[in-house]
Amino acid sequence: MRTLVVRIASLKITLLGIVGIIIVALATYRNPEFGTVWLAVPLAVLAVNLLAAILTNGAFRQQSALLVFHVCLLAVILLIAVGLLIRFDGHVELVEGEAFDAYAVEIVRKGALHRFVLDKVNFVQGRITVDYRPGLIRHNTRSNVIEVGTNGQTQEIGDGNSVTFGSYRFNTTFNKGWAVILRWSGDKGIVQRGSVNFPSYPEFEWKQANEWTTPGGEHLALELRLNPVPGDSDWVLKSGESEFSLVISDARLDTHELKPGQSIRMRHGTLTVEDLRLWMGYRIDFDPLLPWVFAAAMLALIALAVHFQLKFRAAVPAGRTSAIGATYVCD
Amino acid sequence: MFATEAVERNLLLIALVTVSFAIVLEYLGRKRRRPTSVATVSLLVATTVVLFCAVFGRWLREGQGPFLTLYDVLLSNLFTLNLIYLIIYVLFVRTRASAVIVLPFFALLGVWLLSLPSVAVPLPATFDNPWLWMHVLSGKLFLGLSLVPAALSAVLLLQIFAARPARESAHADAKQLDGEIWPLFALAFICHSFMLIAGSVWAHSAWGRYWAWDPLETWALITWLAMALLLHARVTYRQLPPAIAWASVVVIFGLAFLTFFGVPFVSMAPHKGVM
Repeated sequence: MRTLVVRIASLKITLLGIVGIIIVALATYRNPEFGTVWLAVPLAVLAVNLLAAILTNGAFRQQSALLVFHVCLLAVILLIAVGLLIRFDGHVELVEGEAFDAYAVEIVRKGALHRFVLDKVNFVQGRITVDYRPGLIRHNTRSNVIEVGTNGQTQEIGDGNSVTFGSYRFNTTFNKGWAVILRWSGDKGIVQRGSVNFPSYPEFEWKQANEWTTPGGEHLALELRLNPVPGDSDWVLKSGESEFSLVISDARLDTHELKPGQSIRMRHGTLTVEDLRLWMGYRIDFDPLLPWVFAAAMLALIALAVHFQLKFRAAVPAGRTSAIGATYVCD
Repeated sequence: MFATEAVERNLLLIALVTVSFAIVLEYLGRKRRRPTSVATVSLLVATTVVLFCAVFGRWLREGQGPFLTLYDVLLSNLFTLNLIYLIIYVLFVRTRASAVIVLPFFALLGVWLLSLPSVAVPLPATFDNPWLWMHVLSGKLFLGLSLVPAALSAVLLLQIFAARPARESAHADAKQLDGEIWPLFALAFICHSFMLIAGSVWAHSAWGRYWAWDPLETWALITWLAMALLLHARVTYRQLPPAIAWASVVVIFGLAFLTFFGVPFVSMAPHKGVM
């Protein structure tokens, strides 16, 4: 048994594992979808090899810094592996005044062991402002969110300033734009209110259009008309200050331009344009092990530095002036 | 007045001239077997000061650090490479043999820099984070520390290819130079490791993910793995021919160089994918 473990601990397997990661990294460079799954193979080989080496290689018992480095390295691999199993990664767009809905989140990645408790997160999207410098250079993004059930406590999410709700981290993205608030008054007396989001703004200022089907089943093409963006001066993207109109085209190609407060009679109901607000695109991620990965990586780095320092100091020949100029023998 | 583009360009020209003088001095000194270290150190100090003024002036003018464009990255790295090399040159006498490679390398970088458009790109708000500083500074340390081992390895390889007579003293010199390579290489490996860690924290803080296989991340990881591979190979194969080890050090520096200056050249801005 011990012979087998010693064989698994071979440094040649370590080299093969490292070459394996290089091959996967190169393949991922060509095709970004390749990465995570195939990376598991060389990483698993390295983890087993490393564990066997820690158990059997005498060098680790003689050099504690080297041992700490390799144990931490193993911890990093294992923590990242567990992190991938429990992680969550998603996107959501929220309009000012809209309550967060966990089931509207577009899931990008969800680990096999992730326990979905995002539906416990409860907040309402507050005011959104984005500063621009001349030349439409995006500067600070500020998005206020109001926690429900905490006396209306407001938190600000912005560049490099995420907010965490129940271990789910919310980050603003460059993706944000206009949403028109519409009211539908059905013939049977049912009134519904909702929003239609337009493409990212001002990135797609030239195509502020979308399609929407009314609760009455009528398919509409919507186009948002706004004042041009001032490109040569400081500017703040915020709701409440832009004049707008909504151009509505139906299947018969009848076109109507509506200002805020105006209505149009349609089949089975009346559509009213109420307001124009901003929506913000959020990235949501969940990986509670990351602080531990960071701690293990930093400890590994410190241990490696100590190991090298001890090695070089031990190898400095007599009479030498340089503190680190000795032949390096790594074992 | 001080921080105009014209002044910056003139400073770069002055730096190029001082490096050129240092190259001539080094070659003449070696040919005549006279030590030129005092003059070389003086010229390196002058070059470093001039480059510092160029970086500082640009910083004042643009109101942001030199992080984004290839011009910015090259300019700031030229300054830090000079500074780190100057320190190593003064502190570790035996590494001075690397000057015949390093100084012409600086001159080439200077010529390349002068040929690039110097238009600044505003730093996105998401980039502005303390971890950016740690990431960038450790990256510069890594590049500076890996330059000297690569240059010393190149010198040793050139000696092999030049088929110099196998004198006893030549072997001793080679062994001493080899002894300078590995501690610096190991130190560079530590800096590279910290660069990756700091970069991950920065990316996570700025964009909500710590790794995304963008071209810079991928090539930085490949460079790190290549360094780890070489360090392990030296343990696994204790009789690893020195020429292979030296060639590997040069190749790894080439990889690092491409990661720093090749990938941004293709994408025009580091981590452009997330901007």
